[in-house]
Amino acid sequence: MKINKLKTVFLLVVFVLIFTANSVLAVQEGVALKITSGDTIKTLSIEEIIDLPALEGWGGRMRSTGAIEGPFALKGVSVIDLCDMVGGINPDTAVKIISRDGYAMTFSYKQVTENDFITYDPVSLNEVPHDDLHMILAYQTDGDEMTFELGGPLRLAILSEKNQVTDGHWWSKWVEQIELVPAPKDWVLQLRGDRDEDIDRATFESGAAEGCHGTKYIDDKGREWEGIPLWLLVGRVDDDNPHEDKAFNDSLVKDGYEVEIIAEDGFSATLPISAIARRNNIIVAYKLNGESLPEDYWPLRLAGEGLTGKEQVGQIKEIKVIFP
Amino acid sequence: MSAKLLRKAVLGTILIFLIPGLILTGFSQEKTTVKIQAAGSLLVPFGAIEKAFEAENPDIDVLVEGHGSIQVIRHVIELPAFSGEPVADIVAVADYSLIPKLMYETMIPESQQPYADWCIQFGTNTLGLAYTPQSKYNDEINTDNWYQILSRPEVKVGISDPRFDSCGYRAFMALKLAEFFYHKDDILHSVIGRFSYPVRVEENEDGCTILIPELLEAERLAIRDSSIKLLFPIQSGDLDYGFEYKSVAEQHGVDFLEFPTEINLGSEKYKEIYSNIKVKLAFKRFASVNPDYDILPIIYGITIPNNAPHPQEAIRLVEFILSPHGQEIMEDKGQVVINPPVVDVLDNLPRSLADTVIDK
Repeated sequence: MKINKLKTVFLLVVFVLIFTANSVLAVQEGVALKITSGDTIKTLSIEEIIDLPALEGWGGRMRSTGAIEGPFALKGVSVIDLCDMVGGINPDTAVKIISRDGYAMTFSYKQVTENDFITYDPVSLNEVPHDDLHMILAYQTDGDEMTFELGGPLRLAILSEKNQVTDGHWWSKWVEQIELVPAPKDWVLQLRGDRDEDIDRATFESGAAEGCHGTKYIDDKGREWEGIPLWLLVGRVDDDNPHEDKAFNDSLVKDGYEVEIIAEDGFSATLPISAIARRNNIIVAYKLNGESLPEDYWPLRLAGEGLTGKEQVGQIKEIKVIFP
Repeated sequence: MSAKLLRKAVLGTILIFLIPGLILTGFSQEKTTVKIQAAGSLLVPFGAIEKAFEAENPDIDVLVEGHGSIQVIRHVIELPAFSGEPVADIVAVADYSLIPKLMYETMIPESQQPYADWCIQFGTNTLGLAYTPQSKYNDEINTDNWYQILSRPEVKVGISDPRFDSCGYRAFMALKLAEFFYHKDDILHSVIGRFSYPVRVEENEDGCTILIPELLEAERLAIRDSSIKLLFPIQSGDLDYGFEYKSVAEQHGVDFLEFPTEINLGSEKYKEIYSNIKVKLAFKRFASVNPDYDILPIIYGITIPNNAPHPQEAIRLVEFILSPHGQEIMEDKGQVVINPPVVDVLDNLPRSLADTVIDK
């Protein structure tokens, strides 16, 4: 009797396992695209992808030998929209497109959001300037389904407004995964004064580490900014002593001078040294709430106590010490 | 019926059957298509080979398909099984070492034989700069000052993407070799400029490794996905100079400054010096290909895959390519040939090719 019960339980377990495995496989088979960003995962079936807002246009490709394919009429879904489903991209992320055959292509933030591709005229083959381009996962070509032979069901494509063609190696076939990966981009902070110094990202971040010059400032909205006090950076170029003891020259403060903070687009704010000197609560920040700065501020932003809105310069490129 | 009439009737009957027979067999005989997967830099010489071979062999239609060398091999060892595309009959690449590296160690699923087990080294090339009479300082540039001219801010320089193109990673190698040759330690970085994701050089006891990041965004250098594509902006004046293979520059009618022998990667003589430098790509494009490259002299390799659909016709074509006539055709198109060609594993070579090569 006991043995029969055990047999029944065993058979039930086996049945449940087989049923579950089949269900999992069935679900897996329905997945056409997997999008990941860290622990965040989103899967989509082809039907769900087709239900998303679609982009339509023309695009063609140039092979590495110079041969042209297309342009084709294409329809698909924006890669930016797909990335937004797992939190979106920022200047410090890259987008890796992985195909079923193991081919992987990584696109920079600039390529995905700013159309940083070379475009060619499909007839003359000359490089030509372009307007807006759109990276899509195409599921339709020339009005028909993107078949396996054509690289479907999902193929990466770049749409242009003037039927221009782009390099063929971007057009990954058989796409089945999008992965948002960290890709810290290099930048340079120019310090100008009695001496000049260019600080690259690695040097800045090492200086902003805890235990070095790393300082945090919490603003009135509760946001935590992290970076290096401005006066320490000024101290590197206010005289010929960049980093030894007393790098910041206090005696020059008495005579008074100004510090101009300049953004990438040329916007700037000028502060008197008296408002900055030895103040650890005015920092050149590279992190906000523990993350890289958002695009509007990236890579560096001035943050601190008592600064007006205009003084909180974002996208800082240069800090200039102006002596009278 | 007279004998004369009978003779006419027999002749007529023969003709009635013979003419359609000839049409069906002789004139409309289906040709065998021999497909060559070839490196992009071989497209012009192989185009001329195709024409000459087809004229002599009307039963064969040669189809040449060009890609980057790594992609060429992938079109044989990976893609046919995955996508059902036809297997190539001949593989010809710009870096012969890719054939043993990728084809000898990968097995054909059906037969468990390697995809290839011999390779003939048949051609070589050199690296230098392509330019035109419009290029800035074209009347001044020479083998002593080229790197100084390329470093000038107003000079626009192009390079093919080392992630996709062998000419690109070889250009990085040549720039590093130039530092040793000219005894200057900043040639690489002063020519390539700044990148959003830095290109780094790791020095070690044996030499150095150039680390190419996964993403390549240059501030001053223009990057194109293949060296052939650098020629369009050079010819239009958008670029002044581009790193290029000599044969490709000659085939497209642009001027070419060949680097000194010590750094142009065309000479076996400097193999020892080359061996101190490696290029490592953070970008792994193909799951099956480890993206680390040693510096080797530029030597082209050719083989017939063990699963080639038309091995006999492929042998005839390889024989033609390696023949004096075939070599002459390639030389006319700027391709430097190795004479006699060299095979690595003579025992595995089809017998009819054995007389055309020497054993390594």
